[in-house]
Amino acid sequence: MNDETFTTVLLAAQTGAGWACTRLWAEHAPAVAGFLRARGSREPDDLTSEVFLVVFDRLADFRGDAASFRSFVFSIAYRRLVDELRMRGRRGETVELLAEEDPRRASSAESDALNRLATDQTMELLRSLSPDQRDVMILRIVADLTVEQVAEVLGKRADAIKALQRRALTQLRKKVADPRTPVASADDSEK
Amino acid sequence: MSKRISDTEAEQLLAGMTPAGHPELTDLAAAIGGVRARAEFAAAPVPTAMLLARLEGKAIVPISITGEATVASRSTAASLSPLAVRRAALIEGVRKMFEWIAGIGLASKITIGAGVVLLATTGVGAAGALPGPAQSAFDTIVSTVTGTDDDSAPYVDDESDVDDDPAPYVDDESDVDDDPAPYVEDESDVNDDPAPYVEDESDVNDDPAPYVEDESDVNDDSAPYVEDESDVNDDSAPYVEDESDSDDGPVLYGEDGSADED
Repeated sequence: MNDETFTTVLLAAQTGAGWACTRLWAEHAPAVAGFLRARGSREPDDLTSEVFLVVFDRLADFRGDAASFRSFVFSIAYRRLVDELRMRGRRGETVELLAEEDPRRASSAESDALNRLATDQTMELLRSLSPDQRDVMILRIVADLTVEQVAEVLGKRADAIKALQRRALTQLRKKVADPRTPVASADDSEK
Repeated sequence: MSKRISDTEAEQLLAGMTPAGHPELTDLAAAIGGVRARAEFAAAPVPTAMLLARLEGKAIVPISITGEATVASRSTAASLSPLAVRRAALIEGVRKMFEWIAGIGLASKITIGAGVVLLATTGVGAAGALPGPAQSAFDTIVSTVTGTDDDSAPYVDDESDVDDDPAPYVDDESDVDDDPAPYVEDESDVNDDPAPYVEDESDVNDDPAPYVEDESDVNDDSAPYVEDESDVNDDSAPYVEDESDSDDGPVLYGEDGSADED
């Protein structure tokens, strides 16, 4: 969506036009859901809907271009994610027991192969980073934000974002070169 | 291997490209490129019902409390009818009021609630639309506060309560007796029977006269009441003055307080 098209869609969405809201949703929801999923949200799809309800509520006050709107959307998504992680940390973790995920079950060679294929090794690597580094990398890769946009979403300076992404890439390079390096816990909810 | 990654190389890696002179980063660049491609072509998740309603355009157009459309919605508001604009403004105003109420403290909510009930009761009471006993109590309070007496009773003594009954006289320091039963003396038991009053230490009066005064002679006449520091007399019989020698005939109590004696 170019800037001219975006302006038209934005103005229509600000007046409550359903087609325009749907367009904004279709344009940004996949990245938002991917970001929330990669950052450990338990219900990323539902949380994405909640994010966009807030986005549409605040749409009348938004001024800016397409890039600013993307930052605006991910700022809301990041805050909602932090809320979820904080709430989960206070309540304690509840995990549904699924038979197919029971480690006591003997797995066949076929299912092992399927699991290996389905495993996203890069996402596993990203989850091994520190929370700050992981935020930066996921926002840069999955959400496709620039350094400046990430700085705006996370409330940090651009220099700090550049330093975080340099350290993150250095870590990833080491892990890719030596896959035996143990992967750290991915759970960063506040305890 | 331990060479520091520059900002330019970092940008290339994050774009899924291998920086020149860094063949060891090829695998990492490919992995990042794969994640980026997958995120790029991912489908939108299924929206929740609430969001779906919003996407279908069922949301209210944001309009200010004054009925003026916000900057963002002026183009749409201009195409709306004045009635629709006023309706939307009313809905928005009610919504803001509820938001405000939700935001204030419990003590403030109680105070406001009591004030609203008082105002509503006052308005309905002034209109005379309260249920019978409530309207009577309301009228009593209003009369007491304002000092007006709209009753049809011919005389109400000083420092006496308002008497809504058409009984002709309510004496000083007496209580109002709204019952149609005959008089019951202070310090005496209540007599619920329709039989006439029987005074302490007094003889029973078998006559239909409702009241016989303490230490007074029995009045065989049909005059219903002779008061000594008397209480309310609900009967329509005229008043007989305190400490006055009562003849057998009735003594009328005039508007100026003087007894009309024979």
